[in-house]
Amino acid sequence: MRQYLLLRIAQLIPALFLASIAIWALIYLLPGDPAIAILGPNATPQQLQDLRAALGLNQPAYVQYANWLGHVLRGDFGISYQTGLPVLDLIGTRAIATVQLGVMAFLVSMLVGVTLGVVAAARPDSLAARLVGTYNSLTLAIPSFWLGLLLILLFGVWLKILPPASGFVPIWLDPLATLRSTALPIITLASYTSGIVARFVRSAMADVLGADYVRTARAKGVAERQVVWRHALRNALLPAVTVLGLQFGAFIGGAVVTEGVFNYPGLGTLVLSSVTTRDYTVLQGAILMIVAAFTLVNLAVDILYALLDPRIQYG
Amino acid sequence: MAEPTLSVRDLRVGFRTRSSFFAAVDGVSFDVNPGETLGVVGESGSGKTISMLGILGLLPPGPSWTVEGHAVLNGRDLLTLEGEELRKVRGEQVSMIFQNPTSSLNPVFTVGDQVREAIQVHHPDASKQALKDRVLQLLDLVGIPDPRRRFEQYPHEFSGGMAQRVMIAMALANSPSLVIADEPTTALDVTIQAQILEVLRTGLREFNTALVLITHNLSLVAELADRVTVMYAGSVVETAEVGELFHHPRHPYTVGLMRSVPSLQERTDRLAQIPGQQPSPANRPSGCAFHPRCYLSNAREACRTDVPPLYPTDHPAHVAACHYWSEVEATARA
Repeated sequence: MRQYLLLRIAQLIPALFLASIAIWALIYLLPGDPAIAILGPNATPQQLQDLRAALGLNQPAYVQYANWLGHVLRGDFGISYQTGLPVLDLIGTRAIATVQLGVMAFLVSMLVGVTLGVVAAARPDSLAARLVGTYNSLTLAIPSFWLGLLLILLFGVWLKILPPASGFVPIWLDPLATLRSTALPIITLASYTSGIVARFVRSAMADVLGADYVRTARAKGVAERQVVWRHALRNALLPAVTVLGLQFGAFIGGAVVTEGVFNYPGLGTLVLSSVTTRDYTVLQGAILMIVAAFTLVNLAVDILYALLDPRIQYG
Repeated sequence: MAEPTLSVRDLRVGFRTRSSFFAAVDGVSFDVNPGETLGVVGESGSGKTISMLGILGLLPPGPSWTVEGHAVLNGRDLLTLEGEELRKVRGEQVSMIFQNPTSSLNPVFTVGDQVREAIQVHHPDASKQALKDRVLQLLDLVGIPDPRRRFEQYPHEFSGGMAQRVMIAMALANSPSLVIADEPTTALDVTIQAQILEVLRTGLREFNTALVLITHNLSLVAELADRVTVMYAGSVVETAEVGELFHHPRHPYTVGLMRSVPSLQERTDRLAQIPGQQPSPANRPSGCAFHPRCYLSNAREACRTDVPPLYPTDHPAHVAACHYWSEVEATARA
């Protein structure tokens, strides 16, 4: 197991390296001149030229990349073109905000998805199962921004019981306030994934419930509830964990839309604003963060999978 | 004569599809006496497994099953029990062992955990230590070496033979009156088969447990069973004591079965077989279900129109569902 872990962590390095090249190159290739973005449309050509030289924008691409990478590895993500603040600081608080939102949404979607999936699989011909099917279709079809807007309208404007815009309140400071301000974005973010999880768990459970070892459990006299929630679910969750892992990564990245709708101060809105303002350093830093988070979550999922399934042997 | 441990009468198990109803088991009756071994023999699809699953309420999810008839175990009709009452009987008064031992154990729990659960669901107040001791005892009884280490292992670390021993341990855990073993050695190496049977025999003797041994293997039956029931196309065609059945079969199907076992003594180019195939529940022939394949029938009318009941024969406790059972002995010798 230890060998496997070390191997996987070692594999992260080339993966992140390639990702960094891709991120840097993608942004480098974007049309638009940061010098203009910073100085505005009225700047003189001389000013622009000076700024470009100062920012090192005239050097060949690989030199610029190498410089950037060198700084990043020392923890220096550069300075935001727009605000002049260190990028790392800027990303820092935003990242925490997005992670908090992502984790809560992840938990909600897991709880809802697993419960619905199990219920639908345990009673395939019931009304409950059919309702779950409808829920699946709805959550897959409804675009998140539309759902978000609808929730804002319903709860924020008409009923006025939740704030229409969401602020970041660290959950360790004031859980109640956190829930109040982020209930709507959590629901929006969680809905799509809860549908996917429910469908996945349902089909995995339907498979497992027909398995020989489930029959053995019943033959031993185990109560049906235990058979479903202990014997069957433990096995059905194995494939579901992999799906959940991929979805978690999507939470962090895909939160862009949801955060935009709710104006939530997270990485998503940061990415949005830095694209519009051509703040390349911030953009690079933010995306690199997101990619790193995604890779780490994937690694965590693999480890979790190995822990849950005793049949898996590595190394 | 003591009451039978299990008494099955007119068992019918069928499933309904959108358009029609299929009877996989159509009127099966048999008894199992205390401590005896009843062999249930038949081809795949004869209904032997479905009968047992139907009795215990373990039919696979999916089709909508109907189970009718009576299955009286220790004085209670299992087919009238539901939910909690049925759950209490399973694993305690009657256990079942299945064909595929490795897939019959839950891969994510340790073996010790699973055997312990078999005891715990029926003795919820037992202490953890008492349960563990009992499990180790059982593992030892079924011949698993180093039970302490094996307790902590997972099913995938067990060979097929070892896994089946574990299943036997689980089945015997609560000293049931009856164990139903569905092809317990079919999925195992021939060399392991003998060992497993011995384990089973020891365990049963220990608790004076009755056994229903489902198999298509006649030699197993000859070895282990006290009495035998032969099934065909969802019905019982013959029941007798084991020696009597092998020496004086009274049903053409039984004769055909025995003839199809290859002999070590004679050389032959082709294996003998019963011509034709067992009918599916959807295509049951009129009258006797076996008549289209029967060497004795010669398309006689009774065979074609009347479903033969289980006729008593010249030997006590030997019944056969053949209108012409008296002719069978003579022709079998041919």
